[in-house]
Amino acid sequence: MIDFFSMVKMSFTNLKNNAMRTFLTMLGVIIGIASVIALLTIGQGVTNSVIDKISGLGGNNLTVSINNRNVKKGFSESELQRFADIDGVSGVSPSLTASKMIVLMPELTTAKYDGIYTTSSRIMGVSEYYFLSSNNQKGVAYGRGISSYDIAYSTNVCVLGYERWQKLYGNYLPIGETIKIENVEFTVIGIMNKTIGLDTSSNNAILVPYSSAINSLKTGLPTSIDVYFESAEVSDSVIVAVDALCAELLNSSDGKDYSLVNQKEVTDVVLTVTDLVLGMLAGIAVISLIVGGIGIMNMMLVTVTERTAEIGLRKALGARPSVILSQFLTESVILSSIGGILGIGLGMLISYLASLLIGYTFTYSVSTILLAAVFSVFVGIVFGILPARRAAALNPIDALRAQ
Amino acid sequence: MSNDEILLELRDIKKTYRMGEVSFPVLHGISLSVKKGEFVSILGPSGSGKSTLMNIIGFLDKPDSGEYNLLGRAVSSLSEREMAKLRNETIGFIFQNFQLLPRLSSIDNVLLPLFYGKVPKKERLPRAKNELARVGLSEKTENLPKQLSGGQQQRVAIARALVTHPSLLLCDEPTGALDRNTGTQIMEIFKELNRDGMTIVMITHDRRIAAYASRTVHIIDGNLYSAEEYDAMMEKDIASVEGGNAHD
Repeated sequence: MIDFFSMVKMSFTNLKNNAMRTFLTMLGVIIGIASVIALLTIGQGVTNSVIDKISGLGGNNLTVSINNRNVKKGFSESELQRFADIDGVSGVSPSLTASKMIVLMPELTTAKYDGIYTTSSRIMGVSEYYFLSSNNQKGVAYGRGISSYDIAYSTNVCVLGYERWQKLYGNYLPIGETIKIENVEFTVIGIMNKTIGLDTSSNNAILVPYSSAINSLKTGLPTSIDVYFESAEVSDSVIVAVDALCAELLNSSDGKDYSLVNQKEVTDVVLTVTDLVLGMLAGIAVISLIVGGIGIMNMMLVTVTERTAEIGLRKALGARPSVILSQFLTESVILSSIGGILGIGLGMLISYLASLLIGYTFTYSVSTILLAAVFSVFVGIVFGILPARRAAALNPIDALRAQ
Repeated sequence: MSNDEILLELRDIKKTYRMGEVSFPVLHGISLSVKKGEFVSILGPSGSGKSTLMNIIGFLDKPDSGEYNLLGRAVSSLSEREMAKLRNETIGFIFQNFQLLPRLSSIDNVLLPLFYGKVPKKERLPRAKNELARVGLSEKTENLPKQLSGGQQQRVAIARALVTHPSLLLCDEPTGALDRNTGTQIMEIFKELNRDGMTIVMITHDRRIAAYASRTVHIIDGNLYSAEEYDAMMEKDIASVEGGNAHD
């Protein structure tokens, strides 16, 4: 049988013999693939950065808030547990917020620092799930976050928001230091990451275990809780269940006494719009790829005509029609594949430069690249098949006579 | 060795070319049989239909009617794929203008038929080298056709034709593009090949070249004549021309 390697080698020889024409034809595919890659990658990068900005929270939780305090003062521990028990909920974190006087106590430490000794700060009572949120902005930069142990035993520990830390301590890392909040001593155990986007609530706050906030700081029961989903897929069913539970707990059927806010809804709308725009752009890019494919077909047809005598000779030497077909098809696929590879490279370069220019984070997806690669091979086959069939169908005698 | 076994047999082959309304009858019922080991030249002027006949023998072209048997197989019943296989295995073509692929080296040109045949990969190169050595071109394996003289190019073509160990060498004006001296050298190669048992059918318009064959048939206006028939016909024609002159 005809071996693949010889076939590829033969195709390369043929393509090399008309290097200029080969390159110009390839340029069509290069531009087509490059524009597909560039548009998709730039689009994805811009979308990501827009989504990041819109949602500091990420789409993996639902915020439940009591709007009418007359109906209910707050959620009790056992009620929190009922939210946590809903199928598809990985955990809940109440968000208790209060403004409290704080006093830094350098006399308890050996640290020297400049700054405010007495001030007021926002205090947030949260659970360990606040730190486990898949949104990495909620992670701790230094030290550790609040643990389930801290919740269970209402330990007096706190995690400083990034900006709060900077204001209080400058660059000194105060882990192990003590802060007095409403005359109760809290030990600093960690520093939060700096958060950007819409939800920057933790930046300027001091985070404490919600149980400590209730017990030591007398903040009262939480009126707002964040319910975390196990995955985005279960979010819809969780929302229904949470809604039902709220209706039951608040004994409210019209839904006005409480509200459910899901970041996912916001980001979904944005994603729908950006997907639409991206789809349109990709469609235009695909058109340029089709034009590139027609270029290949055109060149291959010219090649077949030029090489009529050669095809005839090959047939005289015993080449089966299928062999002639595969030879021309191999040529067009090699042409489009190399064009595809160069196009992917060019597209990545363009989107990298664009990321520097526009100022978003450069990202690329392997699936987009694979798709572009498969597509370029596909273009070679689709637009190569007609010329290849024409070559295979040539009558050897007409072909030989052409010289 | 050479015996009376029939290699190929044409019976009443007819071929007409049509171009729109006009049709050109080219072959008017040709019958020819060639035995194994024979060297037959088909001699005829241009336009006599000899190239068409050669193409039909190499089944590069299909006759309108008539029977063609090669090695006992009816060629007209073969599919295009089977024809390609049979052509690859049993026929070596030699063309007037060599028909080497210009961008392939000598060795690659000779390798081509092995590539199309089912020859195991590791056998190909030794066979091609061996064949080039037989025509005295061991030193020229990597040369492109344009770096070779006409005679050398035709010898590459001969190596290419022989590399598949064909049963029949089919030559179309093999010396037509060569000077007299080189042509003679090429003909000596054919003569030697025939002496070693190769069956050769050669088409030419050149009486001197045809003389290398062991048998010559004549093709005139699409009809085939044996040497005796041709001589008798010529005598008659000449006599009638002279007779006509005498009346004047």
